[in-house]
Amino acid sequence: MSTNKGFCRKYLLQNKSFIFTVFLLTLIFLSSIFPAFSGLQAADIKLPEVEYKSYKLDNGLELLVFSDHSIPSLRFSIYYNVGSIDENAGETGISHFLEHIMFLGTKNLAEGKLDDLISSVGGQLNAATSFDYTYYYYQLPSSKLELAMALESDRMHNLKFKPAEINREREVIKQERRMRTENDVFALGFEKIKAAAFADSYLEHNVIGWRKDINQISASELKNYYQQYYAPNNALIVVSGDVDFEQAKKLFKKYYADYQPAEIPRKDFKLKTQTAEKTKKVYLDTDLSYALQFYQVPPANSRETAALEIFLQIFAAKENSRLSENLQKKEGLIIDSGGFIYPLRTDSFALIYFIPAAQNLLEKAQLEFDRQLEEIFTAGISQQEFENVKTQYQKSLIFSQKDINSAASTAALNKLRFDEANLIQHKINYINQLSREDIIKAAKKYLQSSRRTKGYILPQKEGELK
Amino acid sequence: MKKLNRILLITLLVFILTAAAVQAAEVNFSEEYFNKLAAKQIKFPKLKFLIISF
Repeated sequence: MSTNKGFCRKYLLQNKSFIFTVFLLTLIFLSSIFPAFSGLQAADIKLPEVEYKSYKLDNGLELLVFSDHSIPSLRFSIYYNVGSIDENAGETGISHFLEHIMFLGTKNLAEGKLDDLISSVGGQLNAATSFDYTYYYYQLPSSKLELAMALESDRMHNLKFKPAEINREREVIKQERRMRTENDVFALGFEKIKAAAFADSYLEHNVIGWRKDINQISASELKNYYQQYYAPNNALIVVSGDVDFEQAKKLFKKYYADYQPAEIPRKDFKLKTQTAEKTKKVYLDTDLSYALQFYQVPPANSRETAALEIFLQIFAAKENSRLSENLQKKEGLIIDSGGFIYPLRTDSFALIYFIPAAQNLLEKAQLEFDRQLEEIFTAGISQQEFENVKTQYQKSLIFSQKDINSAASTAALNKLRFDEANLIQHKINYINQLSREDIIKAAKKYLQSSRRTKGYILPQKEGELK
Repeated sequence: MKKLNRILLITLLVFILTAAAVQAAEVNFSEEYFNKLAAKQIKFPKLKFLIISF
């Protein structure tokens, strides 16, 4: 026994690397229990950059490939850098109208055949138009990438513009407008109040467009718009899922390299800074009243936008926000509230809304809303309130990246808007650097009353009496 | 002179052949073309999984 003890002591003393290893393991163990031990006060949330490969053609069209081979399926998307903000007066809704025309067939493929082909391989396809982009996507078995590449190549260049078919589709679009806007009190009020808030700017109209414009957009205007904006240098192709980059690149070159770039018309997208508060009342067929406050905010990649998003969470958007705690739970003045920023490549808008508990409480609720805003501007936000919202907000950004298709679509939009595919990762990093003072500073700058349009949706009867 | 002619002839030939190859690479879309692409066999690779037994 004594020999063994002596051996151990001798071994331990002589073997410095063993001692060092034990010391290191102890250190790692303690660091894991007490983060401060490792020198970190509070662990910052971080998101690794999403990995992708890209290839750009001479004509400006770029391909992004996000590979994940876990299931034999892929998503093919094409994004065009055009949306309702690019439209001119008299042609509002044309981006969305064109999205519909993209399903009416090409010079090579009859109407309806596109859907048949995709269904026949067990795939799905759809499209959407937004304020600043339009996109088309396919979900397909991974062996069908070439089909999507070929179909979109055809649609980029060979679209058909037949007046009879366009007129038929016009009725479909008008019906869509009736369903989603005209027969929805909040959507209709939103449309009218936003138009007043951003009159004579690219934000005046919504994506669907004004009814009078939908009625008069012609086949030649649609064709002209298509030729102007559906060019390779105004698009981005994204393939995510079970895809091999080299194979995708080969197909991409085969189907898109021959197309010529075009000169893309761009307006001046700077909003004129509002200097005086505006008020707009809209009388509609409703029993409830709504209060909508619109503000001008900077583009989505601005650091101030991140600060404003956190502020809106604290002030209006969360369940235990200031508005919810004080105006709803304590005072019983409102039944709901919320706030958000619409992220765009240009100057954009923020909306904070509340619904008063009764019509006669609207004025009092508005006064209390203003008082709460003033109080938070003066007294600021607590450290705990700030940390909670910051963490929740970053978590929501991370959860929006939960699978390869979500990560790819976020990266694609940020690439399209700002040429910064990993914007979300950078955003998480600079949120870590934000202070409480930064949040209040941004809120005071952009949410001051002189930059606001107060809008009210009110029951029609009252309007008629007036 | 003869040599120069030969070089010019070869250059011209290379040019014509390249142009023809580029021409051949162009895709002529048609309903049949898309049908063929859709009709190609759909491959489903085997999903990888692990069985652990105790």
